Amino acid sequence: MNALWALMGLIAAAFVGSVLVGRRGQPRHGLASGSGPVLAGFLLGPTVLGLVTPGLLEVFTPLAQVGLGWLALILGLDYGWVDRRRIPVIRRVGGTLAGLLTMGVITAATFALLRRVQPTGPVWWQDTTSWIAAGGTGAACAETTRHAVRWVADRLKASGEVTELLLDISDADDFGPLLACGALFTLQPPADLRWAARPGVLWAGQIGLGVAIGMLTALLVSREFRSRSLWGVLFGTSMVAIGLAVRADLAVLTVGFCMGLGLSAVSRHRQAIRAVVLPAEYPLRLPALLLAGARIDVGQVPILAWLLPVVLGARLLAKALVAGCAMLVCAPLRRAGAPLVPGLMACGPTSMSIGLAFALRFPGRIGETVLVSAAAATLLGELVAPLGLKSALRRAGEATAQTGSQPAVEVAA
Amino acid sequence: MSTTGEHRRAANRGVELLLLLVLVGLMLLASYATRGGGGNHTLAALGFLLLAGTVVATVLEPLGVPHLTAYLLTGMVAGPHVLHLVDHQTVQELSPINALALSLISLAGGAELRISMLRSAARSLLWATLVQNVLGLLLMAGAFFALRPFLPFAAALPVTAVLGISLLWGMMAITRSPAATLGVLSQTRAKGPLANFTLSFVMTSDVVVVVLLAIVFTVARPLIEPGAPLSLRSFRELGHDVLGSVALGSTLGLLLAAYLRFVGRQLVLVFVALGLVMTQVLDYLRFDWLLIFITAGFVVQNLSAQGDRFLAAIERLGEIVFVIFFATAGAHLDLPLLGKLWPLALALALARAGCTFGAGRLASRLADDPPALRRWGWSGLVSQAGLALGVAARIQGEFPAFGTAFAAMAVATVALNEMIGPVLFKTALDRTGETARQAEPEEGDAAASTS
Repeated sequence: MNALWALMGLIAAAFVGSVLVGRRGQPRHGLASGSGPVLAGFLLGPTVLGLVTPGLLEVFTPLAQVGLGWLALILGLDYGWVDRRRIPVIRRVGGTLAGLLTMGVITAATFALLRRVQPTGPVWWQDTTSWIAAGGTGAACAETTRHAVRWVADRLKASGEVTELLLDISDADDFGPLLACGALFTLQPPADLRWAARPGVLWAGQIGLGVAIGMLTALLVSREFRSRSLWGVLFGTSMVAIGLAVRADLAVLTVGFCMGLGLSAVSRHRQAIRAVVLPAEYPLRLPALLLAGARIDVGQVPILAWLLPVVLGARLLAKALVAGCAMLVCAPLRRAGAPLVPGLMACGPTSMSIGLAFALRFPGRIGETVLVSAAAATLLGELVAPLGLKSALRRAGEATAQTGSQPAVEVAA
Repeated sequence: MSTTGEHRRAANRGVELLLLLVLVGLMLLASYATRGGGGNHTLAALGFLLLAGTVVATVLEPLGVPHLTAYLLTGMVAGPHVLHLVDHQTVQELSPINALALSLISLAGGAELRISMLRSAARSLLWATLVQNVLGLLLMAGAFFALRPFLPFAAALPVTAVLGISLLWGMMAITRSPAATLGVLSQTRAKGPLANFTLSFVMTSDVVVVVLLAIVFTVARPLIEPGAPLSLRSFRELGHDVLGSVALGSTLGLLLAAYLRFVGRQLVLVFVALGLVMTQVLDYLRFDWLLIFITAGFVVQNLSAQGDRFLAAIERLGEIVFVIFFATAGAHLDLPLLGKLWPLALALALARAGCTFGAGRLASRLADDPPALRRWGWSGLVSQAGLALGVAARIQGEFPAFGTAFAAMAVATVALNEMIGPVLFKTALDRTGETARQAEPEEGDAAASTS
């Protein structure tokens, strides 16, 4: 496929993404976790049709990096908020712990498998390749996507404490995995990078860079707030942040996320900025998912038959643990019952973004292990999570589709 | 203006300078951390040029420096010849973004041209087109011919060949800069006879240049290459260029108008598709995409009811587009070459400014223009940028024997015109009182600032 056609395809995907943004109060289109474009990309990619070649994908690497950075920026900007409602600190902490627990369980299981099947170092704690692959898989498969929760809540016109809790947890659980990406990227830094031997410094540097540029953006925006120049400032600062991360081979996702956090924390125009930035999420998400799907090359993962059962099994176990813990500390969730476990299995854009980021940074075995795992988790989530969430919300008595009341969640328009 | 307001503005400038220093520091730190290497530099350079250009323009605004000049200066200082924050390869890699910027500028240029405006300025335009282009071409050819003893590549050539090259130089000298004109007008939001005349002249001169280029090539070739037959090949290409481009541009304009009417959303994506993809396709098909986009913008504005909406959508991207385009142009300027050729380049630039001034005065007298136009009508025609360099590159391709030296001289001269032109035009708009006193507060800003 010619690069121009491919670019047109991406632009068309972005256009479709923008069209799919639902209007306020109307259910979202498409699948719950947005796995459609991943599948489409997978079909076009080298594993199936081979229309999108690896060489062609290289052409789009800068675009993919920009897309990832912006998606992470949106996540950071929106972190701790559901529309205009601030998520209470305790729930943010709970959501973050849920993400970390899931990531930890999947990382441990994947690492054990990799050490057993294809160890790349004599001693387990020095096997950085396996650590990066396992950690990346853990980070990619940790989330419960807020999009699926919103999708189901919109369709069932659900509102109530359980719906709110699920939304809050799914919003907050991205924190750990996105920061972990930065840490994992520093385990194999480029040789010519200064401080390459000090992963801690590099990790802190990524977080510091993101937060500093976020605060710089807030300062630039706050002096004379003008909606016309907001795009220019945001575009410029995000390009600097993403560009510096790309130049140093660091994690665009971590830098972008921290930039969003810094901007959100400092700017008094947060809501206005959010209103400008959020509509860009869908047009960015679709091409990014399409590219991620097209990058999947299962031929690079010889242990696929072992990897997928282990990763998906570990994810199920982890989500069961999360659901159990959540029910222990939060009485209303007990009403949702066992269907909560499959309900929490939904993952999508963040998972695929992490998978794509690893595939771009570590092409070959590591990257493909993470990307394939993320895609498998997304597809499984698409199959089981909507049913689980619907059942959980109905059991909790919060599904009010028949009464026609307004949904609890406003769809970003 | 109140003292508090002045203090606030001064404090803002201070903060902006501080932010600029932080940005430069970050870029230098990145260079230090990666030992000057690392991965792709383009994204960071793009962001840096955009932010630094915007900040420098705001800081220099009280001195009356046009934003475009500030963007150019930013690019020059950040570029490969001074601070090296943006290197040669990065400047090359930014060229698709430039194509995108130029396509938007052309669309906006066409859409700014209203038939009513052209009709009201028809007499002035007609005389100016005739005098500025024909007389300007001949005068500049004469200036070049007069300076031939100082031009190393022309000194040793026979007189007939130098005559031919002089005509080519005259041709290159009568090109104007739609981007610079629109950039200054976008900043000043100027309205009035001078703004209308300059915009109309510069936009229509793109067509005139294409026609004259064909004529000059036909005449100059036998002079430069003795024995070469008088070929009408250039006219065949002219038909392809002008008629084909106008036809394609009209079709595109109608399609855009229909899109605006029936879909009307995500115009940014449409512009990106046009700027990044369609320019490549049209280049491949050897069409003049600048002319196509100008025509398309003109059609949307004048043959549909979507003109204002279309312009508003482009203007929303304007702040980004102009900064990137001119900052990249600044980074692209070959300063060492300018340093070597500056005396000749300055002489040629002064001769061009003088010719433009004289031709402007004569055309205004013949057209019986109002006093403001008579005095300042020439000021917006001094700027040169990409179009002139495009013509120089084409001459370089057609005449390889002296083309490289010719193009180098053109680059040096255009660099000077690029810096002086916007300052002159902005000064003229300020003096004639056409510059908007103060930008009106934007919709939604007040609400946003209270949130």
